Amino acid sequence: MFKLFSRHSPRANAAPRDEAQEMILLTLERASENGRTLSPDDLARELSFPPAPHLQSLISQSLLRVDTSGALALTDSGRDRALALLRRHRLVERHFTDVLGLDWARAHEEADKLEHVVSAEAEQALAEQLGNPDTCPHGNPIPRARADSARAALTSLADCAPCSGAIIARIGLETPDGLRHLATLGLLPEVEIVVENQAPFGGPVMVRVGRAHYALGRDLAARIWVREIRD
Amino acid sequence: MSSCHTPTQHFGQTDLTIALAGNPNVGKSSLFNRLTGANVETANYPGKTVALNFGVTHFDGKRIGVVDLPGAYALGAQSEDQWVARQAVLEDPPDAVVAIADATNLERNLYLILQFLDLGLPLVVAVNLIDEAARTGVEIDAARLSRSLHVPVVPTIATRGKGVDQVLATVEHLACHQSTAPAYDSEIQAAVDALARTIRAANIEPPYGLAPRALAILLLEEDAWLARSVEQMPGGAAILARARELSAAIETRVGEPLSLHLPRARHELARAVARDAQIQHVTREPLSVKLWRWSIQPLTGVPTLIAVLVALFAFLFSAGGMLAESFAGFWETFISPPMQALIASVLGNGALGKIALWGLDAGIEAALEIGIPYVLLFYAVLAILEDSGYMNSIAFLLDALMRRLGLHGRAVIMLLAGAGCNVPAIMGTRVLTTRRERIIASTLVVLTPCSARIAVIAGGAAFFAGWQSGAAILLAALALLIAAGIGLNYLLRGRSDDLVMEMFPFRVPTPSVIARKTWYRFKEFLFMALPIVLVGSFAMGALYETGLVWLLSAPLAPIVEGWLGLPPIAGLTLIFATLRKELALQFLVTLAIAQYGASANDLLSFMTPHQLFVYALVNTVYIPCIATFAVLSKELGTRTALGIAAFTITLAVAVGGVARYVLAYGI
Repeated sequence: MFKLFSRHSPRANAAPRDEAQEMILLTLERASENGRTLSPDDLARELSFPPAPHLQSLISQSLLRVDTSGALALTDSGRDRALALLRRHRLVERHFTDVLGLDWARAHEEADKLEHVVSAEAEQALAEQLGNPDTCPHGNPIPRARADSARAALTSLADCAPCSGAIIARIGLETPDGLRHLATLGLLPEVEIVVENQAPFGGPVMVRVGRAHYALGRDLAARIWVREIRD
Repeated sequence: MSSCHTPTQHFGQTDLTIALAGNPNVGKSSLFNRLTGANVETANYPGKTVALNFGVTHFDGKRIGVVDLPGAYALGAQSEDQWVARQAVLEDPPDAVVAIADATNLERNLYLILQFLDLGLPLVVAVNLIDEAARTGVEIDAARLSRSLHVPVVPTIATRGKGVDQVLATVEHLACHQSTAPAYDSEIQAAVDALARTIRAANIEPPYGLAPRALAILLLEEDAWLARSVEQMPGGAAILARARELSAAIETRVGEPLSLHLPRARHELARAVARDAQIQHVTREPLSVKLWRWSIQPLTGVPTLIAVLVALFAFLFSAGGMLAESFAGFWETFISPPMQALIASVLGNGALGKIALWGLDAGIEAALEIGIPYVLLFYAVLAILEDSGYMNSIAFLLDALMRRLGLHGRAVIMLLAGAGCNVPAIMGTRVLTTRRERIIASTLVVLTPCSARIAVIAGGAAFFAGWQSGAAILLAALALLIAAGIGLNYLLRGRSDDLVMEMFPFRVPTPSVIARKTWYRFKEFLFMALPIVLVGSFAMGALYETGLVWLLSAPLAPIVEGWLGLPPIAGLTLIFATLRKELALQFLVTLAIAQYGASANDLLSFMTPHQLFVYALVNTVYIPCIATFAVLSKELGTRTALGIAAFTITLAVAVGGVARYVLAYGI
């Protein structure tokens, strides 16, 4: 029973201090990419190590601040650091899938380790060798690449008005299994859907694809980005 | 549970075998029930929970084995139902796959059918629910659909048996006829052909005797399961490298990996085929669709949900109560007297005979009195809610609440099933994918008052201390359940799965499907919970008849008398009620008569209404019974089961004591 409630695995506790801090920055940036803000407790649930000891240090380095609602927010310099890491993570993923032929899940795991040690020089070489790709293998944008500015016009499915038509632009899931599962249901980028119902109090979103109706949990809906169709 | 590697062990000798495949909720079970009747065998793959059903039907003098595959939207290695459906047809290829498609949503259903065609299996398509489609203005041209897919297509209404014979006649003529592969765009086609050539050239034996083209498609879709088995073959690594190369080449051109591009192409083909084969007439939206829309709009849906749940429980307790009474009358008139005589003649009137009576007479009677009227009736109503589609509306409305408890909306069905008996409900949590969700769901099921505990609340607190007292206990149980869910969601690491659920308009439920579903859950109550409960009855009889029961009085005194303020015998019954929870009350009366004399059959003669309230509350909250504990250990391991038991016992003692002081000081 005690194991049941132990929140942190021993392996992750051994993460070096800098790496742990970088993981925190990355997790916050990924959440904000999907339109979420995280409280310290939310953050603890997303990570495999206790973040609390690192937060103060990040705040004192002016990389992180706590906003009035108690949520953690990256400062401008914090966000720059996070985007640089994210760019390395996603370039490494691309390299592993496109050049070395690893599957997506392995590529993601490997990139988690390497993102912390790739130098600026190596990053540049990777980007050039890969032809400056816009997205990672999962379809998420690589920061500071050409497509970065196109994101502004997108709305998350969780924020769409009911009875509106929309075209899926991007599905921000890191796991290929989740993407493939949605793909078998016909939920793919560039597919037209209709938002039929938004349940209140953070409940699910009901969308129609062709003649099929699906209820999607709010967290998932917040990661599906769409272009709304205006009449 | 048996493995299903040899279908003959389920069918005996057959002339033909067919596999029924289809999306969930398309009437597949109706067709299976219509074909096979009651004689059905169920089997699981080792370590898998999704079951396969086997039955036999006769047609045209032939004996036909029928496998009912789990309902799935696709055939992949990602989810268990998909994996089991595919594995069953790969390991034991049937003479024909009968794919059941929902005529009201042909496009989505064709995706799975195209995947079967990709595998190269002989196929017959049954376009079902054509009556329902007609009501929404959709007409399917079976001949056109058949021409597009190059397979026979039969329109059916499975619930009324329409078209079923024609399906079988078609299967008979089709047997082992290879189907034609669907044609995707030229780019995909070229990649598939190129990889198929590599596979042929490598001269390997494809797993499950798959055609090179079928294997090529699966590998290009990055099917992890088949990639693993190919990797181990000599020359397998080269095939996988070639697949990645081809996939990467397409990705640079189309901008997405082939594992997403192929599903997209399949959806596009499905849409084109469906549009070609269906004629849409203009009609008004049918009532069933309107009702369904109302049921998920918050303003109309939430009041409806509350009304439905109140009506459900009111019906169960009035109808269940009546049934239980007549059942008890029957038992006491016709079964009890001869059984008592028989036991007395075999074992005598001593302690041994009395212990046997505890188990065989009182034990079976009480278990059946709860089981048949309450649990069985409850499961029938639950199956109606599921089959009509209303359960999905409930899951939709409650997803936001359930998410705060660390579960998704569909888990609400497990909690509802727990109100019948906790045992099948805990077994039902297997469908949840993460251990975190299973632990949360199982703990919340344990905190859901089952029929037995509700009987104690109704017969003890509500009967002697007023209905408000009973209602207060139920509300307290609900509040504790929600609080426990929020707490566990906070404490347990990880994230729970998001809800992804198909929503479909209401349908008239099919009696045979209801019957089978009800039986499936009731069987778990009957064969899992009941035997353990009967052993408990003997144990309780032995402890009582030998007088050992009184030995526990003293060690329990500080908690029972000191903290909860209950008479010592009440504490004893709480301990022994873990063996037979619904008998807590009866046991209380028995011990009271033994201690205080015959007038004690009125509980109020030795307990105040407040004490009865505390007693029923504690009885409701702590670990329900040994049958529940046994199933928790089996499903989650003994340590977790002990953890859940310790948690509920602590919680029960804590809230019981708090309730005592709150009542005493009128806070």
